[in-house]
Amino acid sequence: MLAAAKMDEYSNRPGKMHPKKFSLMLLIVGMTMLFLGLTSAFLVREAEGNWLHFDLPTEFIYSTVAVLISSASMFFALRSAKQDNLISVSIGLAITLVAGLSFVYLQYAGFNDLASRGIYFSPANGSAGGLVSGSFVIMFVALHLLHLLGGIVFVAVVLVKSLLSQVHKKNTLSISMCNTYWHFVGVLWIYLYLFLYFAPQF
Amino acid sequence: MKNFSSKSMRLRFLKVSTFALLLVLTSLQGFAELKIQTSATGLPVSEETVKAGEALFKAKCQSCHQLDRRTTGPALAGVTERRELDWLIKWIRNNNELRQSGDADAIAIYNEYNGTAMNVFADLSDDQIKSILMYTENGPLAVVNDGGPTEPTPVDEGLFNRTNKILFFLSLLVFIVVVLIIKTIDVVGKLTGREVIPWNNINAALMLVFLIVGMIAALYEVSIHSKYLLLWDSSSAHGEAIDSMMRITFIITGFVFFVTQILLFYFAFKYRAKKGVKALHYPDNDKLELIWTAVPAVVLTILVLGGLKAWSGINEAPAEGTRQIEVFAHQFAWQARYPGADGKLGNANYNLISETSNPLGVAIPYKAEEILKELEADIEYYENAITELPSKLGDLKSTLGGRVGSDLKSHQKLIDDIESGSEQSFYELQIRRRNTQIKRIKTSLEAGTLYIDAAKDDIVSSEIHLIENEPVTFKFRSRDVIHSALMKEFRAQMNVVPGIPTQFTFVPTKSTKQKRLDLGNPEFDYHIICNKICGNSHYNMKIKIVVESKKEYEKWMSEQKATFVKEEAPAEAPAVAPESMEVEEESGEIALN
Amino acid sequence: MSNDHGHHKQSFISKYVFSMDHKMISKQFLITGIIMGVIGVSMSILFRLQLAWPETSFPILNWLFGDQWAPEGRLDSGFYMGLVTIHGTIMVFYVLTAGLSGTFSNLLIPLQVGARDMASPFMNMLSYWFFLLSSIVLMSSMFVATGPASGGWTIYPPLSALAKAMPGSGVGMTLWLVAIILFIVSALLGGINYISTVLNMRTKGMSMNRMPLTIWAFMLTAILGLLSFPVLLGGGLLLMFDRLAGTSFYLSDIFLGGGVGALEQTGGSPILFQHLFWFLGHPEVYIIIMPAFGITSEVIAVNARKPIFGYTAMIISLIGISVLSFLVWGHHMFITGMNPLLGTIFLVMTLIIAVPSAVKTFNYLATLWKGSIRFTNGMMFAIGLVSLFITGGLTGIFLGNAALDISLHDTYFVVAHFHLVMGSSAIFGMMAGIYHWFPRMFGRTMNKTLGYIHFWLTFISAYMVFFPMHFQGLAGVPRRYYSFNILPEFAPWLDVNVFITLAAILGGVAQIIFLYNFFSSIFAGEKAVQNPWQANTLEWTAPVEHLHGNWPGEIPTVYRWPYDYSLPDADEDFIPQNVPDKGSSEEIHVAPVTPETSDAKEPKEDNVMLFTLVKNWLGLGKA
Repeated sequence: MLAAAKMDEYSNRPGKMHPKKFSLMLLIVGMTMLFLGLTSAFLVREAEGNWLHFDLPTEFIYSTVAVLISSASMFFALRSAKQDNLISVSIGLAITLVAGLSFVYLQYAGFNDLASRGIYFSPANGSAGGLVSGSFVIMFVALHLLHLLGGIVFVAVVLVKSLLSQVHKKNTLSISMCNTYWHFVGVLWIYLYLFLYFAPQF
Repeated sequence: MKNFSSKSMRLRFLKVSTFALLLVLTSLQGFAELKIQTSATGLPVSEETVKAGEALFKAKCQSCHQLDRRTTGPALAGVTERRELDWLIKWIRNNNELRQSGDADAIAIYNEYNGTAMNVFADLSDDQIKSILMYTENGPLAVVNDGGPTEPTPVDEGLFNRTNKILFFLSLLVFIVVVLIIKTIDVVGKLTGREVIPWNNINAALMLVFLIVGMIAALYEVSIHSKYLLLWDSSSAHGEAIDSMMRITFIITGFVFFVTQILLFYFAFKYRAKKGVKALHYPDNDKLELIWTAVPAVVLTILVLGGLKAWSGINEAPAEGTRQIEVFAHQFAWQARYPGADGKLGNANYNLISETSNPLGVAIPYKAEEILKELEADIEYYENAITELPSKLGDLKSTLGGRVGSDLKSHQKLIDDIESGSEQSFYELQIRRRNTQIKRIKTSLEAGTLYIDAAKDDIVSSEIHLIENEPVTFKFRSRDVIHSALMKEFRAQMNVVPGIPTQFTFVPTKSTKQKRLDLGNPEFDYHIICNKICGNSHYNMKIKIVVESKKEYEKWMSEQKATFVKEEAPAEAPAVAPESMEVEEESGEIALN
Repeated sequence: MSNDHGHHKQSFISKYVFSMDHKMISKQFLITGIIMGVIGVSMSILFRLQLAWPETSFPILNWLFGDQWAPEGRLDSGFYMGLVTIHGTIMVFYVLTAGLSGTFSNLLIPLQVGARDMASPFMNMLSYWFFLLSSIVLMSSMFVATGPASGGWTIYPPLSALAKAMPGSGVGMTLWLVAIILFIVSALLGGINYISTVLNMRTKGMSMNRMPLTIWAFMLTAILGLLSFPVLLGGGLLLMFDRLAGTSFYLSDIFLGGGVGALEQTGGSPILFQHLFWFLGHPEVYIIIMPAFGITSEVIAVNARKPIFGYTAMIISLIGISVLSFLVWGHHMFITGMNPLLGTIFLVMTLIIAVPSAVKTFNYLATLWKGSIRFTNGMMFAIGLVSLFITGGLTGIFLGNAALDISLHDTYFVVAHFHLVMGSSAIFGMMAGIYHWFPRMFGRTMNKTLGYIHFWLTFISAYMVFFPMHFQGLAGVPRRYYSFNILPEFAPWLDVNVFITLAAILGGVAQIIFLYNFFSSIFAGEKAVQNPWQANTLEWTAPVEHLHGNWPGEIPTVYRWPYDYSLPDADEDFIPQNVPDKGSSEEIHVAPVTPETSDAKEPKEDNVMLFTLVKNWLGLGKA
């Protein structure tokens, strides 16, 4: 297609990023603004008082571990691609996928833990007083999860491509972009977790 | 303010008595204007009743109703011919109750108005309601331009008359002819290779013409409209700071406006393309850039400093002991709550609001108990309603046949709501809400801290009275959505936000009487009007403010009942002072002067 | 490698419908924007009928909206607000953001920077289809039983969060939110493409400081959008949750009449929504005006046959406006009871942002000075933009001053202000762009006589409609009022309302002339030459007939900045950017680019950063 032909003119210029990858970085900037806006809202609201502080579920700590593992395996996969080590690519991607899916499961477990303590998204279910803080926390985690699911789909697609031997030294664009996005989603989780963890002290 | 020299006293007396004469005359004018002989209300028709009804109508109904046309709610002229008296009284007092009892007409009206519910007026007595109804039968007493339409103007008259239609088609024809002529000339020009019409020069000239005509038009508008602008004669202490800031800004921006527009159109004209003349290739001049960056910066800095001064003056915290009045906003009216003799406002909470017994939700223990009972009755009603849903559905289905149009639509909607389960979910939601509310009220009663004694002597009124030259803090509270209190003569505005109390402190410096003299308008009143879109009747939500002397204020205050004192006998006299009382005050005042 | 895909076989569907060619996508944006504009303007005329003749019954209203919304031929007061709300939404987002940026960024960015297409043509196509889908969802909200969203285009909660507070806050409001979310996706997809293309895909020799001002404006606009739209998305999400999930982000202490009673929500803040909304809302207005400015810079330079005066200053002003636009949102909230210190900060920042806008205006005036002005249709609209922007911008100075805003907030003064800067000025920018680039888009020219008539009627009616509104506002008349009979002192303005409505009808009729001209010229207009305006920029070096990939053969190399008009020693009064060195007045650039072979490394000049620009302008850099 013309699009691919055109992109070849731009993909191997020295010192310049491929335009598609640049576009992904811009998208990431946009997503960052979304979370920055909402975390500002959180801070402003928290400062007004009448705010229930509660401990985050321990499942979220395990989630963070899953994030770190998946980022490491993702990095490994990219490096393998650059070294033309096709099997390692697929292994790395598979580990990332599994770690990602276990993250999803751990989040679900975390929500259950919150529910068992009476903290729901919608205060209408009769949750404890200081209702808004629960809504905020759950909202952040769920919104992040939504972005993560996009990342999981991306990883799955690249995994399939690698199994078809389409990911190699001469074609690292998609795995490179996947790498960037995956790290972003991971960093985002760490930011959110630390933010929510230290929130009571703000 | 008050000058006691005899000359000015005489002058003042003259002014005031002319006023009084005007007032008396205008009220006398209505004497012969009763349009009806008998009333469906059964009360004897009298001018006083109609006037009292009119005052109540203006205070309570006007935010959503007119007599002659539908606004937010239906037109009310002739309503007594459309509805039974008993039904009307029930509807007006508490249309929610009537609707909940299953009254078909009530439900139909609710649906016709897209689910916009009328307010509840539980504090109106039967006689008061009847006087309002008599007003709707008779119409206003004072004679306005006779022949004011009682029906909306039908199409053939008024705007769309024959003359206008002919004018319109004629101008359309002229326009088309002109366009065709121009197009022909253009085509000729193309064929001959010359431009027949010197468009460039014409447009250049038009630029200049536009400038001149535009400037004249702008100045003309300023000249005819300046008298309405709020740039002078404010009625508050901080008002002059704002007004002078406004005038200075006007002058500066006006100057820039004229200079830049003149340059723009003049350049457009002067530098039109001329044969043989080349443009000057002049890409930049850094010094010039610096100049016209610095000059606006300096001018704006001056404006900023002035603005900051005014802004911080307005936002200064009120002094200890400043009189506080709570201004309570809801869809679509305002109420004021005064602190009473102890000078302190009681607390209020939205959980204690009841449209029938405690519309402002003031924290008084016996009121809280009353509301608990109401809530429990509500829950019982909803629980019954749920159990009766199947039989209600059967009834509705069996009476479906034979209905047409909007009646059919609303009937079908009732059926759909029950079948889809949304009716039941609504009842369940209401039960949950009521239970939460009961829990919260009970918790507050146990804690007790909400129910301070200061509330006991609070006075709720539909009028705001202020003492001239005394600072006052309006404490704003909203019941439902964001409203905004705009008090234009006082150069004051503040959003009224549910859940976030706001306030505004100012000093009214001009009494209502004085303002009426200044304006030459004996009917003028200060008002708060709503200035943040709040629903269907946003455009008619106002409350009167009366600025008066301390003596007058205390006299008025002494006539107000403490709203929350439990009385044994049902009160016939309204807790709300109707406007008619003010006329008597005026005449009383004149005699004293 | 040949890039000539001119004879690439395309079906009707892939050429006209699901096109990935930026030129076709720009036309799609334009047509959809025009249709939405017609709907939006029509709504404004319809609701102005109510303001001018509140007692007259108009059968057309009943015919259009039925007995439910216009019983007896007069608008229901709630539906009136619905029309006002949808009018505002359509005009701000669908016409002036998508219709303006979407059209011209798509058309001009690849062509003016010398690229074959956008960075991701697929994302570009998606951007349009999300826009179309969003438009359809929004229009569908007009037909739901409870009516369209009616809380103003600013949709403040709790009014917009509670279905029982106003009929329009029912399903119509949910659909509005869905439409906006789709719109934001469209805007982000588009914006990302624009930035990426400008920064990564410029042709040889096209350094940042040789880009036309249009491109600077479009790129900065896209950056603004990227940083601010997501925050609206967040705010809108929270509102959606409050509406559908019973959360309390914005709701607290609410008792509703009509039998509903006390709601459970506590702890929410309606003001929080306003912060999140206006964090987008303010940059949004610059997202609207900056492309218009960019277009005006280009159109005025070309038609005055002079370089735009102060190219660097214009860029720095654009950047200054962009940065400052994030720091002023609170001026929409002066009377919410915010902390006065916060109000002070916003006051200062708002008055600062007036400076770069003033600088731009003066630069336009200086460009006209000693020019050789050709009154093409585009030029007239560009001049009109400057006039309208002066008027509208000056009233911003009143409103930015917090103490004055106390009296003026939410009155007709505000309505006059934003209609002059957005509803007139930016629209004129769009019109200027349409007339100027119509030959580029459709290969034909529009009829210039009809264009003159269109311009004068529109210009006159714009002033007639919005100038009197200043006075209404200064007299304390609030906006969003269904009728003026609340206070007798508003009675003098009823006649003015009639005047304004008649002028608005005139303005509406004038647009019919434009629509006829536009659509008939697409099919039957005079065929255009390649460079009808004798302009310097690269889009005019591409052949009249559209080619996939824009240029047959190599993409042109750029040797000069775009404003070499009326050079004293030149034969012609313009020198296109791809004409090799023949003397140029561009001072900023380090050295002229010599033609290179294709294996040479990318010249460092391509990455001239802003800092060097500023340094040079301040006289600190090397010549």
